[in-house]
Amino acid sequence: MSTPILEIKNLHARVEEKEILKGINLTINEGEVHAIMGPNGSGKSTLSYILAGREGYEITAGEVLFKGKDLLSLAPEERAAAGVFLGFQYPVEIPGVSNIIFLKTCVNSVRKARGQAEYDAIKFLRIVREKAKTLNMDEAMLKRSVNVGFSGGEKKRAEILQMALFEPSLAVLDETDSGLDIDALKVVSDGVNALRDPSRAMLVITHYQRLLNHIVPDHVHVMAAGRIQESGGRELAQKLEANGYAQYIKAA
Amino acid sequence: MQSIPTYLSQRIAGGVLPADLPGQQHAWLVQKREAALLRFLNNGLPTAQDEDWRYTHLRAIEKETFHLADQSTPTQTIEHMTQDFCGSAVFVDGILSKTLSKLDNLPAGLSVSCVREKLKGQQADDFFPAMIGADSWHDLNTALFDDGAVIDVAAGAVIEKPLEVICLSTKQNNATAYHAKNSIHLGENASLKIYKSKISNASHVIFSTHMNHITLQKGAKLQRIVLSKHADTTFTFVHDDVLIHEGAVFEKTAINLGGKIIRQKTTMNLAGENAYAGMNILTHTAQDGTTDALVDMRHNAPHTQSKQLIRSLAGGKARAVFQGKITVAQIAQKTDAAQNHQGMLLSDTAEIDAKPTLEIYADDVKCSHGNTCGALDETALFYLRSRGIPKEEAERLLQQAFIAELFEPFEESLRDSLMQRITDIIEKGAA
Repeated sequence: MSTPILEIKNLHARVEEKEILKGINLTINEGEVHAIMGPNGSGKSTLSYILAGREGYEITAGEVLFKGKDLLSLAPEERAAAGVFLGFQYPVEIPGVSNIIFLKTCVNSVRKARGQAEYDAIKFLRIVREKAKTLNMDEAMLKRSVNVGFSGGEKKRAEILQMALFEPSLAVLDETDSGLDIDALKVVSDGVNALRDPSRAMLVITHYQRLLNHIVPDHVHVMAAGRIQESGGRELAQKLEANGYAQYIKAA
Repeated sequence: MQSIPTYLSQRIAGGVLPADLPGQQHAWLVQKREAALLRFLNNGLPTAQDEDWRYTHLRAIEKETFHLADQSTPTQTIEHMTQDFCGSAVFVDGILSKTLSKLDNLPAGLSVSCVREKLKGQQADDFFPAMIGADSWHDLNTALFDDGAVIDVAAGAVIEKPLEVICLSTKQNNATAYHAKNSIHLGENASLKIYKSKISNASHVIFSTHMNHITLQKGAKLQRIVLSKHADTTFTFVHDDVLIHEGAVFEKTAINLGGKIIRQKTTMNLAGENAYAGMNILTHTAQDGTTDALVDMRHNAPHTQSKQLIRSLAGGKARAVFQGKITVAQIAQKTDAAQNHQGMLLSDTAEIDAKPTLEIYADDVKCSHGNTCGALDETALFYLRSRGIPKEEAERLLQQAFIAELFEPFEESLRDSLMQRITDIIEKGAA
């Protein structure tokens, strides 16, 4: 029997007075790639932020287990160290912090928390260069401020580079395809696919079926109005592409 | 009128100058000191009714008792901003220390002396011109100054390695007071870098005034970095008055960390065509002090350029004040003036006040000013934490990013060492 990485049980959450998640149930096992699809405002991004630990959401009921342990009580940095990675829909620009300093600080923080030896500057640079190359990233990007002046494609490639360096047990990719042209989509998808691993779980959140032609999921869930309305195999994505979300919005 | 500290009322009891001041044998100086003292006693310290003092209140200064500095041996170790300097002037409690300074092998064209030295003997000229915007602090300083640096670069002398100036305070039980009058003069096409650091230990209670007369002749170039770490019980009033002639370039980076009341006033006169003034200021206070930066930039000639970057950080119950005024005279066509102030509030109880002012009398100029104030960016903080960086470290990284632009003009090694030192001081209160 496969081991669950992520178990979301009856999760309810709200922002201020507005209830956004109204009872999410979802289990992702080792090696599985799940996709959540849904219309805008369905609560997809909220779910990804709650998994990563962003402040401002009140959990009113339910629980989330990561490798069998309570995830929601951990600080964001503790979740990262435990092996949760969130790929942002809109990666944040941080003027004044160079990418290479940022990456080294992140990776060494996580390694330290995991009880692994921290990388020295030279070794780290070698590892980053190697991984950046496989993602067709210009090395000059490493010296620039984090995400500042990056195109949509560059930002997403930078996210995948981070993910590759982190080697997470659970990767949550929030609308990774937004802002990408066809070529960039292929590079990013290849980057994600290269990280598919029997010990790793992935949750791909997307509005469009397009991404799922490149990152082929094992399971597809349709989310609307704060609930998972339907679950199925990869064929469900094609059905959605043909019929749209209207029936789910109506049903909700 | 704001009442003056006890130390002062004793030092100038009965409106008479103390006998221990240097240069008493010069009639012109005694006259100058007496006139200044009279003005000071008539006007007193500024109050909140003075427009320039609306945000910085001086009440705290009344409660402290100060004594004359005793110039005993400082216990601090000297930390150099760079290892490769052409000379080092060390001041202890405001007085040049011959034993600690290294001024014997200065490069040709550079002369470094002190006010006391200049005032020795029977002949001495008045080497302090009038200051723009001279106020009560200037009067007090003129009446009571003890010493100061006198730096001169001969015309055409280009001094490659920086000159180091270090100000130390002696460790003693009593709070100390001193008044410094410094002058820096660069002849035509001369060039100099001055790296100054003023470091106080946490136990120091200091009251000091610093009047800096700076003149750049045609085509001269001065780069000045002043790193000050003030004890939380320090009261310091600085006024830089800078005269910049045709084609001369003045660049200053001032870093003020900590302090009870730190007032840094700069008046700049861009007096010749193509003169340039660059002013970068960082202030950081996290206890209950006030840092107050006032920049009065005067464009008095065509094709002059000025650029100001100011970053204020305030935490705890601290207050940061920035008052910036750009005046463009009618004659100063084609002026290019930019001013940018950004404040960062590190706590709910801190306060930042900013008052940018533009006065433009010429019609063909480019003037810009920007002003923002806010807390740490929560989204950026979450982004860093989601990448495994602990909260405190993420906050530090964002604070560093906030101030990084100030140090961009510097070469990498200086930039890194300054940043490291600032971070250490902010975090540990270490010097």
